[in-house]
Amino acid sequence: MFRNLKIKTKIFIAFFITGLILTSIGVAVFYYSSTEFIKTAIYDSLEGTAESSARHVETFLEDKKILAENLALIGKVEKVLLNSSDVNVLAVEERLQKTVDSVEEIASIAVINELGIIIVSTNKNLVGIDRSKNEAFLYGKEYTYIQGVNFTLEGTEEPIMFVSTPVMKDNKLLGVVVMRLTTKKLNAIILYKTRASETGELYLINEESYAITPLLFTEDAILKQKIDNAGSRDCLKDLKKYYIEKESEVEKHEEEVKPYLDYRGKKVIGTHAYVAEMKWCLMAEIDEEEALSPLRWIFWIAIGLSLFLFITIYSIANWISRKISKSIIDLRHGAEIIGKGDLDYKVVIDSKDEIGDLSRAFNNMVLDLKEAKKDVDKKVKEQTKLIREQRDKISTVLHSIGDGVFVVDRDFKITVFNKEAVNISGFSEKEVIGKKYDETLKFILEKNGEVNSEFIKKAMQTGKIVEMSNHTILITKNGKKVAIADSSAPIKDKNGKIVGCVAVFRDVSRERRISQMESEFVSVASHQLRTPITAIQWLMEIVLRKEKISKKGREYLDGVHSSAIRLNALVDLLLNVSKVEAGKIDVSFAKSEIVEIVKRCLDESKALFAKKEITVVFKEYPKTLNVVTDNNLFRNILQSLISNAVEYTLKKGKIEVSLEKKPKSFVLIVSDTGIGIPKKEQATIFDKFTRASNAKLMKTDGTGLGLYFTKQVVGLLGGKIWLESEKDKGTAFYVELPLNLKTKAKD
Amino acid sequence: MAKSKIVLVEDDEILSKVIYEELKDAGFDVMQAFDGEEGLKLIRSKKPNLVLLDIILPKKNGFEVLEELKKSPDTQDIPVIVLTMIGKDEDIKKGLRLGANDYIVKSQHAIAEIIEKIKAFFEKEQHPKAEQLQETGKKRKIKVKWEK
Repeated sequence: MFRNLKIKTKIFIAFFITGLILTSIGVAVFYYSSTEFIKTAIYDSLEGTAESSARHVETFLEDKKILAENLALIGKVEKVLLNSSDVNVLAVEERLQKTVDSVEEIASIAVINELGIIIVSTNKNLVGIDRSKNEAFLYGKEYTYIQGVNFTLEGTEEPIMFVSTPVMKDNKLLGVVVMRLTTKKLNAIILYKTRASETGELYLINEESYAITPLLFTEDAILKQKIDNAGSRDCLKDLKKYYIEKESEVEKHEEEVKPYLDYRGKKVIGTHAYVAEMKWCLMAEIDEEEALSPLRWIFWIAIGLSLFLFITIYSIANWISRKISKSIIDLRHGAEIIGKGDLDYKVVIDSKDEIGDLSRAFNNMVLDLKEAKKDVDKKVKEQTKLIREQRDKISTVLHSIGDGVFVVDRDFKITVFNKEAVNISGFSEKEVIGKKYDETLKFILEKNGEVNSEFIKKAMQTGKIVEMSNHTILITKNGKKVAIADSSAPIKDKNGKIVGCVAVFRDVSRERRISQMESEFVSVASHQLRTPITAIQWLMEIVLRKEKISKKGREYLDGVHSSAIRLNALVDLLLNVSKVEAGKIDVSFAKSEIVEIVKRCLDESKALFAKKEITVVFKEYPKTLNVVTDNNLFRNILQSLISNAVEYTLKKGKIEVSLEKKPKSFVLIVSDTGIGIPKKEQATIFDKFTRASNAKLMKTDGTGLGLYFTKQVVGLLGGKIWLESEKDKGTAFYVELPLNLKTKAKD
Repeated sequence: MAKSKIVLVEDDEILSKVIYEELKDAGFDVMQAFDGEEGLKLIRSKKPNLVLLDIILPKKNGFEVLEELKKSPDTQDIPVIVLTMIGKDEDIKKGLRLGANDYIVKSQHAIAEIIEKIKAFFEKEQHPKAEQLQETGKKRKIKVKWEK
């Protein structure tokens, strides 16, 4: 489908899509890297803040430690612990109070003796209380110890811290100084907000994961809110490493900035720092939403950028595609004009690029075409002249042909109609050309007047030349009937496909008349011949019967008589042959009893057999043989075979006649012991004017027409005739005829 | 019994003579006509017992004669045997169709055979007559066309 678009569109789409893809990738990359960048920046910032805060806290704690240690070094404090009389408890108390007053976060300071009893305290109520079980005291005996944030000893909801330090004199423990601190200052350090953020917060959590500084989003969380999230867990895990596995430094592994859910359940970006000595984690968190808020406007920048690029790319793509395709369009336009025939048009494209080259080549091609066209035109003129001359020649030939010729196309419409066709049919060329041939030319069958156009249809269908026997009549324009002989041949193209038919027809009226005259002549002549012959026969008959004649005379007259009889038979044969060839023998159907006919025939020829002393046997035959055939013609066949058998069998020979009944036919067999027919001549013995060579020796005269005629008659009766013979041994003729000629004829 | 009268219509003189002589020898009364018109006249006037009619005749041919004979009531009952030269033709069919009783093909028979045939014809004719005399009042259906 892409193939079918115009070049302009193709270029445009290519450009545009490329641009679009690049832009999308660019914007996506930009956006993604921005996100990461921002995340990292935030994270680093958080980290920095956390770290610095942690240090801050450590410094604060350190300060307090030093403060405590300094207090422990005060002479008065020593003395009071030694129970020295020099010193006044009150004075120590005053001194301690000065520190309390000057340092805001210190709530109270107490001096505890080695037994754990508070002997001096800025909080007078506490003097004398036993703190020997206190962590602060216990650890304070060893080193400067800070006790983490807890609720007050009295159970009030105020978080406090203790800093305790041992008082030593000459390496001997005198007591412990304990400072009680509020967490106000600590909180103040922590509650420093990260720059201009709204959700960013720092808070401390102790090793039990409880918050020990206030939380932004939860009131009264100190020591009540357990902070258990990914960040806190990480931190505490690392702390543990430090303490349990005593790794030199808590490694901060580089992690990707992964937001996690804070104590509110909101997604935050957070990091942590350690106040290792206190086992505290300093958590720095900021809501992811807030952290990534810059992204929002980055997103919109990206959109704006994309849109801008989109428009730019679109315009550029459009412009380029238009520019390129314009040249092509000009070229095509030029081609159209030239194609329409204006070979003088020149396509003008100035550019030096490939399209310019193409257009120049194109113009050259057009010039060549012009030249070539001139040549072709000239040649065509010459050829047309030649073709016209040839066509005229053919036309002349066609119209000079003595037969009527017409050509039909595949639709049976006449395309050619020559002069003789016009003459015979009476229609002019104009009247028949272009119309179906049977609209004007009526060919009918002579015998029943039915339309006969088989000869054309058959040729068209079978692709073979068809000749119709001359029983066709053409009805001329005037309604006159003209006997014609016609044939048609298919016209095939070079692939052998039939594209038409050429039909030739000839007026055969004259030929017919001649043939009619011939048969009339034969008929009349034979009639004329018969009369005198019959006269001779009869007169001879009477003379021989009634008159007294000498022996010699009788002999001669016998000869005359038999000659006359022979002559009669010959004339009969000649007439029959001419009739059968003219198709003038009518075949009738009648019920006949063949056995009876054969018997009678044999009876009638008794004299004939007696003359040559030939024995004739009607050998095998069914009781009755009822058939439907033409009796006379059958008798004709029988007589012909019998007379041949007698003729060519020597004196005292034998003739056998048999009849065989078969399911649909019957066979007549006439066999003799005569001279036989040589094998070589057996195939041609039924031909006209053919006599066997040995027959000529036996009987010099003979027409060679007998068997010819018999075969024709057998054919007319729908049968077959064949023979078996051996020279000098004898001959057997077989004639097979259908039992019912009528029904066979219907087939 | 009176001699049976035969009218012979045959144009060939020799053939006519032979037939005439032989029929006479056989005991028939024969009258000759040599063309169609003469034949008609003769038959109409003599009213024979049998007509032997050739087909090819001058003036009027055998078929025309036959037709006219069968048309008029006083001659239509006279039996006619057609004489032809050629056997099994349209001629014979036509003749029989027009009302001839039988046919003889001259060229295929000896004269003696022909005479025999004519004699047999008369015998056949007489037979039904005899039977009729015997059975008075009873009308019998016989194959023969004519009944006297």
